[in-house]
Amino acid sequence: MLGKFIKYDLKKTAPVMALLCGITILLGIVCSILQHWSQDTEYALIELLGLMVLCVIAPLHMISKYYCKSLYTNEAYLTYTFPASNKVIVSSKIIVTLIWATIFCASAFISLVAFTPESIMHVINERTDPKVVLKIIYLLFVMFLMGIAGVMALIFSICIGNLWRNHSTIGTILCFTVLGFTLMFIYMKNLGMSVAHRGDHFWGYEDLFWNFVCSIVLIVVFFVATVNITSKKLNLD
Amino acid sequence: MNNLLEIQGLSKTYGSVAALNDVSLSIEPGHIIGLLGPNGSGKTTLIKIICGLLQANSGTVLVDGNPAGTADSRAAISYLPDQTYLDGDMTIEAIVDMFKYFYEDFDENRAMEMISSLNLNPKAKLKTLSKGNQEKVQLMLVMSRRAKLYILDEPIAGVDPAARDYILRTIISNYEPTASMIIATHLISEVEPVLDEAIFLQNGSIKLFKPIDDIRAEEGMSVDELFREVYRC
Repeated sequence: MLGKFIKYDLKKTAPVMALLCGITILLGIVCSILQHWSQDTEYALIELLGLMVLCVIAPLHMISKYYCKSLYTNEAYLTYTFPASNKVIVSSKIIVTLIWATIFCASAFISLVAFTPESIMHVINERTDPKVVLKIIYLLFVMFLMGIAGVMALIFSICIGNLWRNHSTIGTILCFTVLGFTLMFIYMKNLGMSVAHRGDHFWGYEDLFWNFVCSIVLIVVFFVATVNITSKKLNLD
Repeated sequence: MNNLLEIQGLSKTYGSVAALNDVSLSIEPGHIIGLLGPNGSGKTTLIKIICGLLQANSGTVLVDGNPAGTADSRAAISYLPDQTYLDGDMTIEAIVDMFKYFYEDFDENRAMEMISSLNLNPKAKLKTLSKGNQEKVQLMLVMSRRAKLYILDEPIAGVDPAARDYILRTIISNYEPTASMIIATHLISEVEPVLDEAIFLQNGSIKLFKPIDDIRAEEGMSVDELFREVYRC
């Protein structure tokens, strides 16, 4: 049943999310073409601002119009009466949200690459050391995991916030604020500890290791906690 | 015969208010039961616990031998809540496809027949329909399932008398005879003709659970008249 839910929800959310991802990629291509013609640097700012706006719109849409609507509004009466356990239902919603978060991150990366194709050509033409390319991929992957951990922190905060029926929004905001600061502290502390351990003041890719580990642990912990708490504390009024 | 619904010692409180107080009842297949009571008597709370939408403080609920809230118990129940719960941006056709996708016992032909009998355009979005038609669409989807237990929460509240007649005719003509149905309502006189048994709920407790014929024979009055007497303000 989990696969069935995921397949259905991916299909249902595809029109809007595919459009947002498409716009994200198109933004990079259009800004790149316009910058190439006009040689103005303002298109870099448009690309950056456009990506920032889309990075707010896309997750807001998924979280509010899909995740929260299907689990915490009147539509929950339909969602939770499908022939599946609460754990399967909640897990499917989280997994679909994360799938689209991943696809959107990929779209944003493609948009940036499309905007600066010369950097890719430089890597190919100069036959850059593969280890450097791997390190760049590792850096991007760790940043992606940190972003996903942030999304999971928001989903967990929504779960905690909804334990207080009459103050769910305030509860969610408070919880996410605390978790957000905690995550930032953990990541910065990991970086600082790694640099201090090495004894110099330079930053290296090896310093990301504990952020890599922490991100994975946090994603798993938030996922399991959200599924279990939402399942056990389901109370639709 | 195994009971379709088995409730033992069910209690639910909201803070200091007891919505349900030690409720126990058993329902066999093939019965249409009216769950009757004034506003705030605990009807919707009881229904939501049976459907796995609320957690009880104590007690057990078994639907066709499965604990409430599990996949098997939900598969056995076709539930109509007392509010619109479908996505208004979806078309009727898309909603029918959704029910067909998730429920193995959903009869698509029956659903489309009922929808066309109302002269509704299957490609119309749910939110473009009148409130009455939205409720009829929801009812049709619920009654198009060959479920073991139908639970309808206030199916005729908020609609005009002609629509009420239509809804009750739809319920009776599409109901599976081997299944059971619980109709929660406070509009007793409208549903009494279709009921086999009645449960009177008051302050979260069951005050009466009897066949309709026994009520009429013993009390010498209709269920509606008895209800007015029992719940007189």
